[in-house]
Amino acid sequence: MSQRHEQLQATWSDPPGIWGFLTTVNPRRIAARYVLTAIALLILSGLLALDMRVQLSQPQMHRMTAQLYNESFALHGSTMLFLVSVPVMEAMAMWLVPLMLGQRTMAFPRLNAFSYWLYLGGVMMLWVPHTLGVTPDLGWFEYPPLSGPSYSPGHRADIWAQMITFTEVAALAVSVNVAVTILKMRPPGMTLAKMPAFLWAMLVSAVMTIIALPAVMLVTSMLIADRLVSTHFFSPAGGGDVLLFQHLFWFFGHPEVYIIFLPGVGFVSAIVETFSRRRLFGHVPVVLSMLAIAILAFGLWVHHMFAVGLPKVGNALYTAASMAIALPAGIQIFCFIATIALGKPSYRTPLLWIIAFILTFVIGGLSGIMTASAPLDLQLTDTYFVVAHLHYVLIGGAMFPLFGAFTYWYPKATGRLMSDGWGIVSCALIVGGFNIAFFPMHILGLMGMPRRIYTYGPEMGWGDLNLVATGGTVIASVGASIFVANALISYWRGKRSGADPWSGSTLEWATRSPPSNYAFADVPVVQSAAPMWDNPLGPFPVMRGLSSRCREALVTSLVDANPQCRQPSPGPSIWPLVAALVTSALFVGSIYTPWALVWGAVPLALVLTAWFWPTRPRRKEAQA
Amino acid sequence: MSLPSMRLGSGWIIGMTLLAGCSAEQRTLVAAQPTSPPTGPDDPRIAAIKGNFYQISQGGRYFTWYGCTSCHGEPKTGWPPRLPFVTYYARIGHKGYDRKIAAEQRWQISAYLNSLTVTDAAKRHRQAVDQKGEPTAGQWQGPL
Ligand code: HEM
Ligand SMILES: [Cu+2]
Repeated sequence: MSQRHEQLQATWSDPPGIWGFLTTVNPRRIAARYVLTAIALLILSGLLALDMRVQLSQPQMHRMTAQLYNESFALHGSTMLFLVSVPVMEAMAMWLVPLMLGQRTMAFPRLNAFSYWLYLGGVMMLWVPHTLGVTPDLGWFEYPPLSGPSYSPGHRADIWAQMITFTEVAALAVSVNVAVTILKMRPPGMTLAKMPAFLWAMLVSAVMTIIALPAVMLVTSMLIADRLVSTHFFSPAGGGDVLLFQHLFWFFGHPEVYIIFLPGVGFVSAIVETFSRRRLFGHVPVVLSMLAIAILAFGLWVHHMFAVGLPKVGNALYTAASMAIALPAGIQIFCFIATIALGKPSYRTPLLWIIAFILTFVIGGLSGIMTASAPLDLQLTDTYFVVAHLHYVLIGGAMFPLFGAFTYWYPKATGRLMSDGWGIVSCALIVGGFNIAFFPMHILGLMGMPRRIYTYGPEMGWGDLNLVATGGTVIASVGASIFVANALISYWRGKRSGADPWSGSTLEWATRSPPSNYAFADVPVVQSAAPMWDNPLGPFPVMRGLSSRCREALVTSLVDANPQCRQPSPGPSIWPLVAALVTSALFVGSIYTPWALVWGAVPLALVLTAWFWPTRPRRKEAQA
Repeated sequence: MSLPSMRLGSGWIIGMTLLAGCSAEQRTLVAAQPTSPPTGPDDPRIAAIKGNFYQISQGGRYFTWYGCTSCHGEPKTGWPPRLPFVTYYARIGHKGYDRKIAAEQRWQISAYLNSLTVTDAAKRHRQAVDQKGEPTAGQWQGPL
């Protein structure tokens, strides 16, 4: 055993030092990088939010100029959605999916590396110019004509548009990887019917990403083309249509909120199951609801455009569709509540986050039904009601489950537990502070306070509620600091967790914490969607036969997960990084000249050729 | 690596340095704008305003609003002629416009005229198309 361990560890290890850092294809190493980068940006962009809240705490404050405020909310919103929420969810998938499948790696390990480097390019695309004083200032969706060639001179809008191209290519790469891994690399016995809800959530959101993201890449590329080579897609006088931008953007933008929310549902299912000590109530309805959400989500985008004056029939249809999506979301919530109610819940920190999720997300869902109704939305749109709603669903529906997931899987990643006491304190402060900060915004919105304003007059009577909101933000920030401190201190001081501190239900708890380079020596064979609970006493049934001398992964059939072949898996490589650098040069160059696409394609083709150059011996030689 | 990628690489560096000269991107919305004519060709405000994208684009809008096009037509290659900034500023005062156009806007229009002499035709055209919806003095039929 231990000799085998040594051998596997060597086979799956990275080269030492910086070279290993640059060439690694270990999904856990890359995902950890992804998560840490996203959390750093969450903090930076949270500080921006705090700054904005201080500015709004009193009427007639002039510590920020209008322009600085515009830049702040544009940077905050764009960072939160494009550089934090989507990537962090994908990174969690990258970390967890292979472990939950009992696999050593993912389907396309090098694609993960490529994805991270491009994501980092996107981060730099937005934040490096920011440090130089050039920040996009039109919000997180930059509508033309405001972002067109005439009204956005300079490069602010280009930076925003190209940041999106970066992050979306990165997101597509991970999503393809996650989808293929889940579909083709499930352990024997894990048929689609016996697949844990977490994996379903990740699969559905990956597929949604693959369908939704091309729309936004297209629309931002069209915007750049309008700005650079006079294509007039969006200028009516040139035969274009400004609303085309909004349609294409929201065809992506609405599914995007579910791309962020569904992984949250995945975390919730896993945590609820483990801490209620009971199999997930209504596994089938939960999974079917995910599929229903995925389909409905692509038919709702016009509810972001009720105020632009589309035909009434269209508005009515989209109102109905938006209300319909409340049903599957509601079914999921009921199943989670039922699981807790029917189980023997132990209220550790991760479960508390889930309860916070349920309470907050329901409020966000209710305000969602209100904004989804076209007549009401005419009053509510572009007011603080929308700011309240979007933060209730994004923070309540995605960030709280994420924080729960972070505490839940922290011991798996580090081998140590986070402090429960401080965990409860930080959870209470964040959830309490959040509600104090954002609930009053509903009322402010109803009082008519528009979103995206940098200050207001005292005669409006909005001062008191704004002060309360800012107070809530401060409380939440204290909680967030405690959360971060808890995570940092526990890394060195936390109680040792062992492989399975929570008696979890899914396969990641079967391997050591933190997992070794190869994670699983043999592929487990599973019997149900909660495989760890199937035979609590006996050893795990496994399937032997994967080599320990070369990198190999098991490929199984799509529906029944019958073993099909041993797939050689690529080792560390520098090419993903080089390819990402060359792609970055192409993207950045195309802000300045359309020829960057042409000349940039040449080195890209060369690098991809090098990347895919076959290095394995041909089959015959290998068999000899 | 190959030549094109080197060219791109240096393009990237140049691009980033251009960005670093970020005063071109600055966007001032507060009342820190000039209220008096340029004092002469060495007035430091000239360099600041004529190098700033936002001021130039505002100037372009006023150019339409005040109906300059009704006599001069759309800007084209060769018009406006290349003149010193102060001359643009002075000429905008013709035909009583000095009493109609505020100093700040005259600055911006001067910056716009100055930029046109170096703007290529394609860019000029796409900005003009983008601004077709702007009110034009004399031809405006919308609400007033
Ligand atoms: C405690 C944490 C947060 C606070 C205090 C906060 C505060 C704010 C404020 C003050 C605005 C500007 C509202 C306006 O003037 O219109 C804003 C906008 C926004 N926030 Fe947050 N925020 C927080 C966290 C988040 C998170 C976690 C996300 C996403 C996951 C997020 C997404 C957005 C978006 C998309 C906008 C709209 C930006 C735009 O108008 O284009 N925020 N937030
Ligand atoms: Cu929506």
